Amino acid sequence: MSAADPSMTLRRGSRLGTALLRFHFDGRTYSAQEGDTVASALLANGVCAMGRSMKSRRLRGPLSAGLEEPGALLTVGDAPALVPNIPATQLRVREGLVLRSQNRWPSLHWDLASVLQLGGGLFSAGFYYKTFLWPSWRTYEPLIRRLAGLGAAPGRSDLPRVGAEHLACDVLVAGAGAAGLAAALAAARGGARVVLCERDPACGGELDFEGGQIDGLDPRAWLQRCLTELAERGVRVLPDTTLMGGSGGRLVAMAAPDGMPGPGAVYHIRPRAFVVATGSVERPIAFVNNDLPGVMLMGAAERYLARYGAAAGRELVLFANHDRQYATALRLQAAGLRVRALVDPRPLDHLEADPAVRAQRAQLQQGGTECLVAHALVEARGGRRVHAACVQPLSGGAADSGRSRSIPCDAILVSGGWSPEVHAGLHEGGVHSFTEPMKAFGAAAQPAWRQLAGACNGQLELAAVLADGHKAGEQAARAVGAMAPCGAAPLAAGDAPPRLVPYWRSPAPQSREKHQYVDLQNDVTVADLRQALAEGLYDIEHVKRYTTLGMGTDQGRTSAVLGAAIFAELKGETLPAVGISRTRPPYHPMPMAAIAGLRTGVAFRVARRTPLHAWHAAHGGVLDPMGLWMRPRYYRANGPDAFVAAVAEARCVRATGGIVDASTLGKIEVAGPAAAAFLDALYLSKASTLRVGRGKYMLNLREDGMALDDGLVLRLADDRFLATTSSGHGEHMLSHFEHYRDTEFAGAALSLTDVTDAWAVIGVAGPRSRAALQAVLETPARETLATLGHMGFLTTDYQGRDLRVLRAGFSGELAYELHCRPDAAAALWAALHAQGLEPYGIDALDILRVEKGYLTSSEITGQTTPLDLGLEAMVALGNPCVGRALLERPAFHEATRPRLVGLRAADGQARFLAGAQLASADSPNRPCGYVTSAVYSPTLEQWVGLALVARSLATLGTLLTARDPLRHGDTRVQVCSPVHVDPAGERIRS
Amino acid sequence: MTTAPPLPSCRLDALPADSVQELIAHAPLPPTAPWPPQPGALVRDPGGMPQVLHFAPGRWLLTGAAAGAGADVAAEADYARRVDVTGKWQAYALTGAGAATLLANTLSPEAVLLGRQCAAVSLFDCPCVLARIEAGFAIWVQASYAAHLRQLCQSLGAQDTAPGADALAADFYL
Repeated sequence: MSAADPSMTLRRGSRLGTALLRFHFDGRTYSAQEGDTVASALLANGVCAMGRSMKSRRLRGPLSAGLEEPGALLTVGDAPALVPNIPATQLRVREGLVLRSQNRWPSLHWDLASVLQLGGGLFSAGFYYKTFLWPSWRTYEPLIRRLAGLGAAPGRSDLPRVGAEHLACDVLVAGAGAAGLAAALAAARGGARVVLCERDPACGGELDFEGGQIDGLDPRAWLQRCLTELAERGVRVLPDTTLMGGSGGRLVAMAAPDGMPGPGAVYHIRPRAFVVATGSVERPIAFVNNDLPGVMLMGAAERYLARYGAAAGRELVLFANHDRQYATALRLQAAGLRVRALVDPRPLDHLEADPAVRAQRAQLQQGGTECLVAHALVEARGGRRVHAACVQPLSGGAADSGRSRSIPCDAILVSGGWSPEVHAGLHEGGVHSFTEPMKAFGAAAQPAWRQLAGACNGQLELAAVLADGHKAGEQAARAVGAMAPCGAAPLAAGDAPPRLVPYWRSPAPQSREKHQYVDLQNDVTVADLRQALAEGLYDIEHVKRYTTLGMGTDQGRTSAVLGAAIFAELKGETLPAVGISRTRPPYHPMPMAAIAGLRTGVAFRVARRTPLHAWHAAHGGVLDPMGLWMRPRYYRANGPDAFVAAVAEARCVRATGGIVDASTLGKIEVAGPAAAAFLDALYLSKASTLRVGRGKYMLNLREDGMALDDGLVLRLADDRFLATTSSGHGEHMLSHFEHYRDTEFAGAALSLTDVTDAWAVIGVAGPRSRAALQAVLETPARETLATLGHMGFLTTDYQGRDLRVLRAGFSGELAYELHCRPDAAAALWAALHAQGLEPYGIDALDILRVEKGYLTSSEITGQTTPLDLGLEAMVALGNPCVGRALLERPAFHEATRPRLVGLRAADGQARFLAGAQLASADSPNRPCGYVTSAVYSPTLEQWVGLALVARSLATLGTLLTARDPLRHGDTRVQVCSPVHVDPAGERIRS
Repeated sequence: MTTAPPLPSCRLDALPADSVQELIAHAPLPPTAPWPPQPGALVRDPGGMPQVLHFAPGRWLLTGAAAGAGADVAAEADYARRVDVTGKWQAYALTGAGAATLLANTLSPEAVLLGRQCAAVSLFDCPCVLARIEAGFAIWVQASYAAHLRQLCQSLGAQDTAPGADALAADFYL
């Protein structure tokens, strides 16, 4: 809560309330008013220096009044949960806010590292490529890294989790300045659903201080009327919301209430039409010491005054290359500030050509303001802030240093023109194009759904801005079919055209160019640009990377055009020829938390649960994510770690029996008269030969003949099949099936349904499995079970719920798969457990499978054919399925193709691991294959594995070396049959 | 991590899904077919709850009474197949002033349901069928994804009254 301070004189500004707030900056407490930004509050408190620069650690004050601020960046909060690089110009004061300046030690005004400024060119462009080489860069790296960077990285984040909002609209208008408001109004009147987002907390942009009239009203009054109408027409206005970027028709905007990222939402907006009305950014002019605190953009000073009643200084000098400075000076004077001088580099005849300017100049001169025409401000003088401006007359573009003089002042307001904010107009293939009136770069032709309007479209006069906005809004409405009348464009008269004359930097001796700052965030100077050119960097993109021009949090918003223009001058080319570096999203730094949104912690990705998940969790199952599924690897009761437990579980299955949760198997029901033909086309063996009540192990091929997936296919009825897939492939196989249904089988009487979640699957395996199952089932299923043959299944029920019992399994044992409805799974599982069947996890299942030589995803890798996998018998059936023809390719029959083999340690004891590379004695350094799976077999009491080995070496008894230098070293292994246990299949058929 | 800013209140209640079938057409529907022919259309029971949902082209979700009695499977066989998917879907009602705001975290319900009453969607990466009901939305989510969906809804402030809500919440914030 704020406490009013009766001794404090309240400032008046369009964004200020009357409540008083206190905040802390570098340990001192300051007062502010409700609505103040930190920059405006500090300026009002007489504080001008707010930070230090990154490389040369020079003191910096606010250059701007918005998001484009390069210098006044603050750290919010305390370590470790601090937030660095928040522009003081955007951050609004909250009661008790704790702030620190950056890039200084021990304090802002006494910074040890700033002594490096004495080194002058020590930190010139590319210094880290050329300096600190002796004895080694590593010697200096720790210190450089401590000095480098903007602010300190947070150790942790306590930002609130950032929510997201997906919203759709007919027309999105980005920017609620004059053009954006006119566009939103026109589109809403036309009947479109409009969303208007504005990065500032309030709409209106420069209407806060713009002179003139709109529709016969003061611009402030028109703004209020406009906002009322927008609300009445249901326009959704998103203040404090910055458009960050977008693609594929979706635009991402982030809300940062109070200028602080985090508490707001990230908006995913899908508009049918998009109006970019993001305005323009004022750019500075380079002169010596133009980075001193107290040097500020002219428009920023007007904003601080109009919105917050805060003055950039009391004694001002203005320096600009356009007419707007005269109107600005009059407004500043009217607010009680003393404008000591106007410095205009343009020739007198240019000024005299406009009677309005002539009159303004005369008015200023009468008020005691010196108007210096054809002059340049060549240097700012001062220490912790500006105390004088040094001016010189210009003659033929050169300064007359002999007639230099100093004008005392505490602020220099500078303006070199405006650069369109076309970031949003460059997405999805947009390109820059030079716009002559602004001497800057706009965006070239836009797609039909996106239009630029206002200052970002090259318009600088209020009337033209409003007309352009209205036109864009009307066109957007029409484009989405909103055909109601849009009304007339607002009629306006505002400041005169600026009559901008390009002027990028004041004359200076080459030795002082290192103090002419181009990019205030990265300490890039004119000297750096000259050096880059001298070292052969001719492309502006290369110059950017070499000098860091335009990098950082402000992304060169105030420096990119200025830097390109000065580089063009140094290079002797025109600005359009040099071009400008490309911008990329995001427009402004986003917290990682905002990008992550809800996808953090456990919610990082989907975790699918089987119907038995709760049972596993309650009974010591160690649940791990496998693909999207949570599956029990092992049960804690069976051992202290995964290895011991899994071996014990596998041993138990072979000795007595066990149950495993196989609900994750993909299941696709294929139904219809064409079902059998369809499956015949997609599997290497025929489904049509299956009898109802029988199942079959089958393999899919890709179109190129590689194995795709394997599983069982059951024939449920004449025209109905159930195809199971491996656990991680359910969705992919469904998609594969759907592709062929929609293409090769288009129009066939065929339906595909994913029934994975409709059936829980319990694997029951081991010598006692039949007896246990008989104890659980009721007659007649109990009797049928006794005669159920391998791959046969019966359909019954359990406690009134559907149950399918299939005699098959993937453990090499007498085994059954129980397909039951999910709500009956827990009861059925518990009943089997009560019969003495212990649960086993995925690790044990792997052991059982590898012992038996069954394929897993380690062997079906997308690079193996059925021939590689030893499935020649299946190929020999000759079913002309997808991919079958390509199995005849000669390359698939060469001796270098891999072949699935079994492996055991040559000494019967040693351990080897999956992933080990296999080498022969003839070629010890050249792999001839690799181990795909390896487990400790409790049945054989040794390590066994599967491997893919070159066919020429795949003969039984071949000795190879399993090379595993990073984990286990070399192991001598011997090729054997992949079926390590029960090669005759007696256990399965028992 | 601190929690997200509070949303307007909403609650998640379980709906019965004892008997659910999917009907998949493989031929144009005859005029006599009792199913809403337009994708996105649905038929409600007398209580206003969706009973037959044409949630994707040629796919209907049949719930409650529509999934059971009176099915003329033989007549359907000419143009469709019916699959019993009981257990595949879990059904919930997301209601209250904050329901739409909660869903807007993952999609724009307004846009998705523009001109239709139901749709197959992905909510927080979970495959779902979404339909409007009087007080909010009915959601059918594939059963293996249901816990994840509920945890996300809980974390966004939905009051979860369905069975097992406390256990899910505890699991989520571990």
